[in-house]
Formats: sequence, C-alpha cells, structure tokens
Amino acid sequence: MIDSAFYESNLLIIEICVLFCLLVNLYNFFRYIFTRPRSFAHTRRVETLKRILSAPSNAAHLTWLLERNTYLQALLEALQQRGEEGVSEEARQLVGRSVNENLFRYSRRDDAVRALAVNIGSLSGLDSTEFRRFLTDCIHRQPVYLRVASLRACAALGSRQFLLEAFKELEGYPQHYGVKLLTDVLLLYRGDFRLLAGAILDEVPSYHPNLICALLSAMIRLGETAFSKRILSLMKDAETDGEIRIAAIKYFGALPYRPAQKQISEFLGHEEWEYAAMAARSLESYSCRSCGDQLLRCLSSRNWYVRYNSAATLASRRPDLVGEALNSSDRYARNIMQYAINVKEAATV
Amino acid sequence: MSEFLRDFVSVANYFFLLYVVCYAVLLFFAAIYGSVVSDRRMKLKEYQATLSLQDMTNYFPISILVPAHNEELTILDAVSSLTKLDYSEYEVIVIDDGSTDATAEVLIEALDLKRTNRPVRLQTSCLPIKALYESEGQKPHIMLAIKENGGKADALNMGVNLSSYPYFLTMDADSILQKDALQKIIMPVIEDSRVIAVGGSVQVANETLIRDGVIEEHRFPSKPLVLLQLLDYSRTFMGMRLLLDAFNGNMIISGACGLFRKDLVIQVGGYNTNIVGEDMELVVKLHAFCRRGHIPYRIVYASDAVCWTQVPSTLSDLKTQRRRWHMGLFQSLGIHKEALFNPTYGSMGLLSMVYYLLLEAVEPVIELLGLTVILLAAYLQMLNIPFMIWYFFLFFLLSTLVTITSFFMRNYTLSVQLTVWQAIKVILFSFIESLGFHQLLSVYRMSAFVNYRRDRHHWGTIKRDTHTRDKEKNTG
Repeated sequence: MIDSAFYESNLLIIEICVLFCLLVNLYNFFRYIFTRPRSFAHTRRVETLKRILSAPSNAAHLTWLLERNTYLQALLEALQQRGEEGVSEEARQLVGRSVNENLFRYSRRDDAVRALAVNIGSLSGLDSTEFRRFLTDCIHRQPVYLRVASLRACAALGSRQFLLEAFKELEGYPQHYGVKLLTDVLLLYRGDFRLLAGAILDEVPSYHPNLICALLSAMIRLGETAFSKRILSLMKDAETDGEIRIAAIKYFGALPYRPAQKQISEFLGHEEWEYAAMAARSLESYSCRSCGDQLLRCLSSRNWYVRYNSAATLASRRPDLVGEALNSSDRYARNIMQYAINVKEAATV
Repeated sequence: MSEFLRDFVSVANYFFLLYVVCYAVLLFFAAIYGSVVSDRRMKLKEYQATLSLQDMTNYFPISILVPAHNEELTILDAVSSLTKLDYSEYEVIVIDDGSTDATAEVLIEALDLKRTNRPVRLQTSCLPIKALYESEGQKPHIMLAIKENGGKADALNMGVNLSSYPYFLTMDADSILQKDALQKIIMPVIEDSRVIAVGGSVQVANETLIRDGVIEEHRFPSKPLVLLQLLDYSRTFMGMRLLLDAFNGNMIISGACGLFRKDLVIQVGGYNTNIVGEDMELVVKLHAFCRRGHIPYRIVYASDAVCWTQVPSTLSDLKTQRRRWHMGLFQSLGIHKEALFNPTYGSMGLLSMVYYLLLEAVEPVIELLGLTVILLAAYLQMLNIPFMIWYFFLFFLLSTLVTITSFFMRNYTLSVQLTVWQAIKVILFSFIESLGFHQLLSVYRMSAFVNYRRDRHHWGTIKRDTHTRDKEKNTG
C-alpha cells in the first residue's frame, strides 16, 4: 500500500522550493532596480568627507561616521583623490585619531574592511600602540592583499624594530612573500635604510631567505655598497641558503666589488648550474683578464644557461677570445658563441 | 511474481521520489546560494576597487598554457587576444601537440617567432619536444613548443615544464580570454593565500564578434542548440560550482579556463595522460594530496573571470563532447574511489564525490530505470496519474526556474544587457532546456557506457568554426 503521506510531504517540499525560487527571482529583480542609486550615495559620502578634510574640526563626528564601512571606503577614496599634498597635517591627525578609536570595531569585521583601515591609517601617518597591534594581527590574516598592505604600513611607520619583528612573522607559501614584493616593502621604508640593512644582515638566519634576497635587490636599486664585505662573506659561506648566495652573485654583478671576483670565478665550476650561470653573467661587470680560460671551458658545459651566459660575457668583455671559441672543436661551444654574437648584434640594431 | 513486482515498484517509488526531491533541493540551494554569493562578491568588489587590488597582480605573474591540435582556424585569434590582456606580467605558451595542419606555421609567420635551442626542464612527464620557437623583444613573451602527439594532458605537462612563473592558466585553443580575465582569476589567490586553484567561467562564444583578438560585441545566440547550451552552462557555473565552493568541494575546473599553483601540480605528478577527463582528475588529485598532507587549501570558482569558447553547433559534435566528459567523470571517480565516503577527504569525499557519482555519473541510468518503473507501475495499475503529472510538473517548473535564475545571475555578473525579446526567448528556452534538452543530454551521457572500454582514451573530433570576425571578412 502506498503511503500517501510520504508522497504528500515530498510534493510539499518541491512546492516550497518552487515558491522560494520565484521569490528569489523577484528579489533579484527589485534589488537590481533599487540598488542602482548606490553609486550616487557613495559619491555624496566622498564629497562630505572631502569637506571635512578641507576644514577639519569635529573629531567626534568623523569618528562616528567611520564606524560605518561605507564611510571608511569613501574616506580612502577621498584621501586618494586629494593626494598627499592635498591633505593638511591637521586633517591627517584628525583622520588618524578617528581611525584609531575605531580599530577595535574593524578588527571584528571583514578583511577588506581591515585593509581599508590599514591603508587609511598609513596615509594619515597614524602610529599608536593599537595600530601596531592591529598591523601585527593583519600580517597573519589569509588575504595576501591585507598582509602586503600591513607590511607596507609597517615600513611606512619608519620603526626599524617594529618592521624587523614583522619580517620575522612571515610564514606560508613563499610566493606570497616573493622577492619582488618584499623589495617594494623595503623601498617604502621611511627610516634609515642602512641601519635596517645592517640589522637584517646581523641576523640572517632569523629571516626568510626571500627577505635577504629582497634586501640585496633593494640595495642594487639604491646603489648601496656599504655592506659589500658582509655580503661577500655570506656568499662564500657554504652554509648560507642557496638562493641568498645566488642573489649575492647577482648583487656583485650589478655593483662590482673587486675582492668578490675571485669567488665568483670559482663558482663557474660549481656543480649546480644556477651558480655557474649567474657567475658567468655577473663576470660581465669585471675585466675577466684572469677568468677567460674558465669562461671558454664553460662554453662546453652541459647546461645551456651556463654556456649562453659565458658566451655573452666573452662577447662583451673578452672579444679577443671570441675567435678561439668560434674555432673550438666542440660544436656546442661554437653554436652558443655564434648565438650570443647574433643576440648582441640584434640588440644593438 | 505479481506480488514481487508490486513490492519492487513500491520500494522503487520511494527511492525515486527521494532521489528527485534531493536533486530538486540541491538545485534550489545552488541557485539561492549562487544569488547570495554573487551579490556578496559584488559588494566586496566595491571595497577592492577602492583598495586598488589590481596593483597586487604585479606580484603574481602567470603563464598561460594553450594546448593545440589542428587548430589553424582559431589559434591566431586565441593567441592575438592573449597579447592584449590587462595584466602586468604574463607569458603565453602554445603547445602544438602533433598537429597535421598548419597550426604552428600560422603562428610562426604571424608572430615572427624565432627558433631557439633553449632546454626544457622536465618536471612532469611528457613526450619530447621537437622544436621550440620564441618571440623576441615582445611583451608578453610568446613560446611555441612543437611536440609529438600525446594528447591534451601531455601537451599541458609540456607547458608546465616550459613555464617560468609560479601560477599557470590553462585554456583551449578555440577560446578567447576576456581582457580582464587574468586580473579576475588571480583575485581569489590575492584574497586568500590558501587558494591553490581557481576555475574561471566559460561562456558561449559561437556568435561573438571579435576584432583584432578582442571581443567587440556579445551577440545573443541565434541557433537554438547554442542557446540551450548557454542555459546549461549558466546553470552549471552559476549554480552548482558556487555551492560546491562553500564546502571547498569543487572537483571540476574547466580546462578552458583554470588557474593552478605550479609547484603543487608538479608535486602531484602533473596531468594524467591516460584518461580523457584530465582536468577533473588533476583537481581531484590536488584535493587528495592536500587532504592527505593536511595542507590548508581552497579550490574556488571565479564567476567573473570569463573565457569565451565555442560550443558544438551540431548534435553529433555535442554528443561527442558530452560523451567524452562523462567518460572523463567516470575515470576520475574510478581513480580516486578510495575518497568516496571517506571522512579523511572531508567534504570532497563525503559531499562532492557523492554528488558527482549519484547525481551526475549514474543519473542517466537512474532516469532510464525511473522510466522503466513508471511503465511497470502503469502495467500493474499502481500509477496515481494526477499525482504523477502534478509532481513532474512541479519538478519541471523548479528546474526551469533554476535555469532562469542562473542565467540572469550570469548576466548580472557579466553586465550583459538583454532586450525584452531576448529575455522572453530565454524564458521559453528554459522550459525546453528542462523538458527535452536535458533528457537528450542524458541519452548522450548514457552512450558513454556503451563501448566505454574501447573509447575511453579517445577524444573524438569536433568541428571548429572561425570566430565571427573571420566569417564577416570572408563574406565581405
């Protein structure tokens, strides 16, 4: 006997589903119609905040407005539109105080809201115990954009100690703290870069290798050569992380340091091709009077990058040896030398 | 015997009713959740616009892998569109998988590619390379690898070996990536550091107007079969995939538009070259690897990262495609069957695989059995016809509403405008999609069971068409 109550209950479930689907479609339709004026309300908020920034007075009023996410978003936009010159010191301090008082609210909200608060705090020059604590917390959140914004804000504070502690907190997939990203953070540092660099180099094992590589990259960008001796000892030390040693070779290629040439030449014979390839490339910045034979030998390396970089350096620094390379008994050596010459000629055309 | 049959029909009735209700409730939740999430994401995107998150994309360079086999008609459009993307740093790698037409020649000539002897580091297994061509002094950097025919999975593995960047995106050679697709697809990674793979949204491009590799105009499909597939895609992408996201249970990332973290793909051995559903199998492998290794991860779907692709425009091509997809589904479920009902695999084993097994893989068989039971019930005079008609009408109505909801949500997400007549056409075709097209697809999927062992490595051939620009040029 068929249980009709069972069938009826099944039917009811589907009827409810159909009804809800209809309601959702109606809801979507009306939401589309009535939320279109949202952009107008946002523009009004931005204008209101711009007026407050022009004539900063009532801190309590701004603090109250910033309790809401919509005004926080509008404030960031207002600050961006004004630019750095367009906001007075008084307005910055007002904004900083208002954000500071709302930090405990933002710490309980969405990560995007936290990121807004971090950006505004940084733009306003906010530096308080609460803000530093907020930044340290944000560095550990999941969104990469929030971590990056927090690191940048830490750098902008100009506090060496605080930034060093933040760097020690880096964890997770290395790409999220890539060399490029960390280099940008280091270049944003508002304090004494030399002191910061010295402090990092004093405790290399305490930091992620990416940070050391980023430091070397930042030094190249800034033309900083005060630490060449220390970097050379890092490069010589076989216990140093491989990526750091290779970054150091690259550093000495960009900022030549005579005592480093001997060590770089020795890397030409390294069993790992990355060292040999980078060394061959970096030697282009040196006279190569003593390493010509080694470079010629590298033309016969099993690794293409070692061969190519050696050929490129020979073409650039030892044209007297190019003929010898082109007449080599090794076909690969001849081919790569010719290829390097062709690339060099194409580049100069 | 009669008593046995009556008992059988009674039990079967319970089963099928529960099955239909579960399916209907799941569809319903998928549509509702899709609506809620899309709305929430739009709000979040307003914050992110203020935060200028696109600047963050500088730190996430991407390699775009384009496996190609006999794609001379569409490859240039696809690659041209890739050179115009709004993204700071990326490279394009085309892998010619043993084409017998002029796929490689078209690219070498049009893009002035030069042959190079640069070595390839084999981190995933693939057939050897025959020749490598690269662009010189051009941004983005373009590579063309010519290799022996080994299948799409093998070609993708070659692409992974050639790629320089930590993330790669796979796409089909007959597809066009929207200009902002890379920005949109990397956003989930920027939003959540645990994200290891992101699926993009595949949209129908059969009558899209393309000029100089850029989509100029979205044209509403005029062919009924194409429109029906568009509705089917909307339901799949805007409904189920978003719902599975909520449980970190997405098991399919379309090969036409999927982003992956390279180091993890290498760790799981790359793409499986022994099955036809390599895209799904890779995702399942990543799930299994991260679950077993207790690695925090998420695999998500980015509904606004759009890739426009051609769908089959004939029934025979549609059958070939859907049959292959179904076979791939079976193969992937079979390879990872230890995850099924296994709590170690979390939501993947307890929810996603159960869904894909019961409501996707064997659904055509269950439909066929259901029809058989109805006929048997009618023969035994056990059928309550008014109830049955009303029940099926409600289910059909629900299915249609879900399709309509998903389609309009898709338009909202993509900011696509429709005329009134087009909207009416969509509503009418949603009825046909629920009653007719869906059943036809079930028949095609059933055909995957026939000659499965013979055809399980066979891709079949689908006729390609040029994009609309070339058609208009040719007809003057």
